[in-house]
Amino acid sequence: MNKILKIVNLKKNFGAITASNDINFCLETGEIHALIGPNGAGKSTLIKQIMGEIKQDSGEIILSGINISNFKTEDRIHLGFARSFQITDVILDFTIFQNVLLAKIGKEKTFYNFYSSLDSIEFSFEEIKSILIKIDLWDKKETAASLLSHGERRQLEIGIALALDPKLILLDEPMAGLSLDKIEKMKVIFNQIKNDVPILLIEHNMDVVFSIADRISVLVNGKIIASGSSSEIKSNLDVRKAYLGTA
Amino acid sequence: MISEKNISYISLISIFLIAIFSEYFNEPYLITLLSRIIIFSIAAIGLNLVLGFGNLISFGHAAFFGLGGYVSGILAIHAFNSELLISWPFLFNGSNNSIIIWLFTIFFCSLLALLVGVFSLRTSGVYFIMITLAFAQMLYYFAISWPSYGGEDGFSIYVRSTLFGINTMKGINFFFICFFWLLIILFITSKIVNSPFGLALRATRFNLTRVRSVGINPFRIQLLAFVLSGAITGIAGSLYVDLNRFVSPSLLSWQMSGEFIVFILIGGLGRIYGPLIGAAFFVAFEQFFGSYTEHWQIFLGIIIISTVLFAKGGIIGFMLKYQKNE
Repeated sequence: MNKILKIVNLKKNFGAITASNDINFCLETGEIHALIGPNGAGKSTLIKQIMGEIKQDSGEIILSGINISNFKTEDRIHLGFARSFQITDVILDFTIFQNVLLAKIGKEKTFYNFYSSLDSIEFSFEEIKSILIKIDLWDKKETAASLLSHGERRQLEIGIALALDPKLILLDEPMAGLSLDKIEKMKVIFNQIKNDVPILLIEHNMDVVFSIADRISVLVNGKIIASGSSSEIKSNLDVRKAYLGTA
Repeated sequence: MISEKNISYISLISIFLIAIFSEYFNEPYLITLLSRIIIFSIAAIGLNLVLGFGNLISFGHAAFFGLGGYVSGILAIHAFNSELLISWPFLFNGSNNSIIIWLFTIFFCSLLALLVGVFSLRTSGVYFIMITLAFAQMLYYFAISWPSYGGEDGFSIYVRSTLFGINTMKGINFFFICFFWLLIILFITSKIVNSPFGLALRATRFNLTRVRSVGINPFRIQLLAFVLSGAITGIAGSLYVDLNRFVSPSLLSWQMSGEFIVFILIGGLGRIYGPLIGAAFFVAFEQFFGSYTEHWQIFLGIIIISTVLFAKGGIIGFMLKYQKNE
């Protein structure tokens, strides 16, 4: 398996508090890797360092072979980070198709093309169709985004992220506020897109994490205390003690 | 079946037919009116590109209309008087060749639009309105205080510019030139609006953060649209001066900018043919009520208020809605 994102000996202190204590971690192609941990474990600090919003004290962050430890957030986005909550909202007056098409135009840098008709741009139609099928919104492609439900809008956001052709997708609590059947739908979508783009998932809903994550890393007090498959994590004594509360 | 497309084609064809009949029944005044409608709609189509599709409320498009007029007028009057216009690095006497005049117009109006755009697009909302107005007013007062070209009184250019040996002094011939320009401009704008650039422009209207997050720089998109818009409105100014054979600072006045916005509002905001319908309505309205009272603008005010209150899509929007309800 190919390591898309690799974090090596990452350390971060805030005064006397150690937020990241020698973290080693990687995201591989084709997987959903969930990061869990109790409140205050240092999840947000880790994500912020990955995105370049705060700088690590030491250690390295490597994105498909490129050391991006000192890159600014924008440059990391250009290199292929897509983050779900970064996408503030969709363009409500555009249809679903147009929203994804706009992202595609941004990605392909064809936005100075003012002579070709939108219908004649060959690259877009098939690619957008496959994205819309993946996020299960193909039937609604001509619907205005303003008419979508909360869950569908989130599906669309993921579609927009996919259109930008990222190397990895960072999903920060994607299931928050969704109904049970929507959560089931999202699970199916995530399982489909992980083959194209690996997903780093931060999620509080343990049922979701255990059912869709290929690997789970548990962060407690700034340290990754365990990393492995759902069953390994479930049976890991340290994790049960620190996180699940029972020994 | 009323559709936007049908309304557009019908209006184009009727303008053309009315012109042919006017020629046949020897009504030169009507032909001049039709040419005016077309020129005004070209100016407003230019404005509509930024106003209707990019939601940039420019209250200074008279600057481009007037600059186009002055550039054309100055080139033509120098050619007419065989007066030197430029002595360095080469001698240039102006020109009365339409093609050359149009190229100069497009060049200078694009340049002005680039300048105005670079400054004004850093702002938005009311500030954008005010700064575009300020630029236009600057040009207006400059024109008034520039004695070489008539100052407040403007100047006459006596003959129209020439194009491929066509007798442009004949009303119907000049109408055909304007009509041809209208077709070109309509073709270009519909092309632009339905292109990737057009989609990006329409997106900037709703959500700049979203546009940025997919890697598109909204400022550049808006600036390019503003330059295209200024060039189109400039062409209209050039044709307008040729039609009247007269250049005056009133081309640059804020009332002119206001009228362009009114054409768009009446016809239908953000519709390619909206300005054409709006300008036709405006000119016809002015002719009809203007013959009864010089205070005809009172009635226009009522029309504008009712459009804004009851028919937000303008005439085209109203017709489409009426058809849906039936």
